[in-house]
Amino acid sequence: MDDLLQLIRMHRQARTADEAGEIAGAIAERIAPSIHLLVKGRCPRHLVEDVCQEAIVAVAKSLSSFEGESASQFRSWYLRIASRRLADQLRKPLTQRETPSDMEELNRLLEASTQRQPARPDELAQLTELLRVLVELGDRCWQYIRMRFLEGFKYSEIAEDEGLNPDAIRMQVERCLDRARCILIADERTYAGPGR
Amino acid sequence: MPDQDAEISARVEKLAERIRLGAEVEHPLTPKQLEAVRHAARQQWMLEHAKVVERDQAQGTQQAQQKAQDLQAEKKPEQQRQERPPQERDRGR
Repeated sequence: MDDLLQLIRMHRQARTADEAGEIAGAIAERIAPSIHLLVKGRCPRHLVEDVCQEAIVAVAKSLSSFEGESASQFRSWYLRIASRRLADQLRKPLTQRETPSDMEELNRLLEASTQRQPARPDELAQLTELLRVLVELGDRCWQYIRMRFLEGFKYSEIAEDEGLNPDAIRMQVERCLDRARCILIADERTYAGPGR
Repeated sequence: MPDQDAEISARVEKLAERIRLGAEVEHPLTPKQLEAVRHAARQQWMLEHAKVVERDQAQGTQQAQQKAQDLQAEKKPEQQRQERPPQERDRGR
């Protein structure tokens, strides 16, 4: 993320349009996966590529208006732009949208992650199980957890989208996580059998 | 209880990190998308740069006009004095 901040600084100081274009391209390459993840979870499949492209271009065009200095500020900033683009497209708040079932896609991404960072089979199996439990908590829980952990939104940003208090969202997420924990413990007991 | 909360949060964080890593592998920008981004950024830079140049030029013109007016204002009493007929000037002495 540090080199991303470095790129943003370089973009501010770009002396030619070509230089600005090259740097914006390098920034776009780094943020595209997060934007794709955000869009894919909320958008009908046939719109994903177009919405992603629009969102990334919107971020690239607004780069000079970013005034923050930290990686997390930049992440919040570009996710907000992408969310607005998405909402413009779909005309509904993020959390009230009918979402495509993305278990299969997320499992594929989990598998794909091993190309960058190897994982033990049991570690991967645990994460797959955790993902299943989280998705099965229900739409609302999964959306909150997805926004908070996968997409990196702050509680205040989720609250803004929902028209709720950030504390209410935080408590809701904690409750959802607690439910997931209980399910996982119960599952472990079941698999371990009564003798455990 | 706080330990358990932290533990499940950490596990979900780890899951999210893996998924994001997978997204980097699976969804890189295509060359066509990348070119579209570069093109948009170049256009934007030119647009913003043109605005800055326009603003600087406008400021420059304004400053030049102001300077000219100031100079004119300074010159006026001097000119008036020089333009007065000699008798008036003599009477003034």
